[in-house]
Amino acid sequence: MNEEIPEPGRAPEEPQARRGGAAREGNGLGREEDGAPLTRQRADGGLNLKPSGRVSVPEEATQPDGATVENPVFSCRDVNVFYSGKQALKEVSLDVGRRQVLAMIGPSGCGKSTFLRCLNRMNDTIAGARVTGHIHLDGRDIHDESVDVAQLRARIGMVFQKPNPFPKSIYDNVAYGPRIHGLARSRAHLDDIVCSSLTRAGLWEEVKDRLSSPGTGLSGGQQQRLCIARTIAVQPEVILMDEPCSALDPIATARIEDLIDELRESYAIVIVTHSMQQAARVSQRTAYFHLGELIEVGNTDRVFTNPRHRLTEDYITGRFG
Amino acid sequence: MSSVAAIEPAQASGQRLRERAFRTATFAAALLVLALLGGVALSLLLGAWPALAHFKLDFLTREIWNPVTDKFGALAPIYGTVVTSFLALLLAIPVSFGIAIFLTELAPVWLKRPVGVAIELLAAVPSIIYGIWGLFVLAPILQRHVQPWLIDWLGPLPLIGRLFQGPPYGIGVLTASFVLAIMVIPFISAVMRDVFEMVPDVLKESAYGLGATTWEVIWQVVVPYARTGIIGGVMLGLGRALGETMAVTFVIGNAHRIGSSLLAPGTTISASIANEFAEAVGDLYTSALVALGALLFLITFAVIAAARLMLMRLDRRALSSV
Ligand SMILES: Nc1ncnc2c1ncn2[C@@H]1O[C@H](COP(=O)(O)OP(=O)(O)O)[C@@H](O)[C@H]1O
Ligand SMILES: [Mg+2]
Repeated sequence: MNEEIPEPGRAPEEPQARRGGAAREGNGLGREEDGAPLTRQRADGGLNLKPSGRVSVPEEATQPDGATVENPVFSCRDVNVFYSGKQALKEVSLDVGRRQVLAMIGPSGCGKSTFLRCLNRMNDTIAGARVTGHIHLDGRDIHDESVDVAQLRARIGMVFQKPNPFPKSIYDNVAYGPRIHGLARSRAHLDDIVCSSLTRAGLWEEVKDRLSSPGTGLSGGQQQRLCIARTIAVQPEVILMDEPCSALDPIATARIEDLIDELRESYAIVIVTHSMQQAARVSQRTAYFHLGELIEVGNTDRVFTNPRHRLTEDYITGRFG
Repeated sequence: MSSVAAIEPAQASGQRLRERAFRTATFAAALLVLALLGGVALSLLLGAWPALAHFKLDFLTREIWNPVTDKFGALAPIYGTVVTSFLALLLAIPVSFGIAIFLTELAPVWLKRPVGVAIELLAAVPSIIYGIWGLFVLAPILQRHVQPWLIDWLGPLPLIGRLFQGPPYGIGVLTASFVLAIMVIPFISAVMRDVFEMVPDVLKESAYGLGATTWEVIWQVVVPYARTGIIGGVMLGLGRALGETMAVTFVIGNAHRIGSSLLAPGTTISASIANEFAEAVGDLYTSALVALGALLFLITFAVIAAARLMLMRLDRRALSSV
């Protein structure tokens, strides 16, 4: 390779970019259905330049350290995003594993939110935004014409940076999703859904006596948990969180982090965070973005203890960002 | 020479004088607006007084308008003004709503600007042009193609049937309403577009994120949030429709009559004034026309004030929710 040893992480980018579209078309859709050949292929293609690492460390064999995972929920290949022609995301290839938390870190403006918003096609709502590349959810291309984008988004929950309950009652906030999708058979069933969602979000005890008061009257941390309850009421498979704690105080943050840890048992979670401690605490995998590129991704422990790329190292040691 | 030269006392006092003169001048200009408003109201009231004192409440409740016998009642123009404005809004609101929703939520970027600019240009077309167009283009089309159809299909209906009976004149209350609708659409849709754009993206996105369709987001998030703004925009349009003169004068037929049919000719307050002022002889006649003007002033003032109030409240809420 071209440079000094601490930078093998750069290597994945180059061959991958060169393979580009040809590999994509050559492999077609079939490969998404089977995780194993995909993993092998990416490794051959140079995504993991340290196969020795994977052989010698047992737990990394079950949790491959890199952009791909076994049986992913999301499988993204060569994703580019342009805002009015300006490229915000460059050739990102990344899988999201089941029942685990993927943290995305990086300096602000590096495309974390942009990538997150690709996953539920939220970028469709931005005029002038264009997304290219392949994003498969459970093996199905989310950009396929047959995909109903509303149904897709119902399968993928999203929690935003600023808590943003609807200007409705607490009950109606949680019931909103089940109502528009007709998930509840009866009023009692809807009550059930609301109760269990609030319970899972750790908010039930605090609000059970005032379900009809406005959601906007809660504290910031409570509002954010309400938004999480609203999200899980639709029974999504994946939950996307965009800096969910950045507007919260440390205690509220700790509660959300505990909640994320619990939710991981049922959902795949992708969380954008500007706090490296938070990424280290809640995630199993961490992806580092820089100027629209995915620089490095791997098991969280490994990325934080032994970053392979100079940029990652600089960022997590606080030299910039 | 040092760079920080001492300021001469004379220079400083000159500066202060200029500052004072400037303040006084702008203050006077501001006062002038208030004085004008008060002056207009006062002269309207004074001019209208003879007629109001003579006819008392009859002026508001009677349909008769007879310059020969000096009997004047404002009911027909009031009716015409209210009905044409109401119908114009009825037609314009859905269309404006559609335009605004399309522009804010659905239109591709390259289409947004041209359509937005077109709307602003439409708003700038002088009303006399709408009048000419209404008389020479729209009225014949309505007379030949639309009104016969209305008479055939809606005329026989119970209750509302009466509104669509009689001969198709071409000009009349309905035609005036059409022209007015076309004239207020740019205003209403521009305001609606602006208030829809004020709806925070996060609110829309959290509904989208739960799997809401664009339709659901519009009706359950955008419209409730923008409600007061929508009403404010409609009121602005109403204010314009109420006072519109030239275009209406061209196409309404100028008959001091309350026809049971919308196809019949009628008149509005402003159309009556424009039509008759030049030939009004006699103090009572002139005063009756001025009284019509005072009425219009009151109605429009109230509508615009209400609209401003609503838009103001919306602004404040938008600020407080940031
Ligand atoms: N709606 C948008 N329109 C235009 N440019 C955008 C938009 N959203 C994000 N960008 C640009 O895309 C880049 C990545 O933004 P973002 O994904 O929000 O970064 P991050 O979440 O990592 O801070 C930035 O340069 C930003 O200016
Ligand atoms: Mg962001």
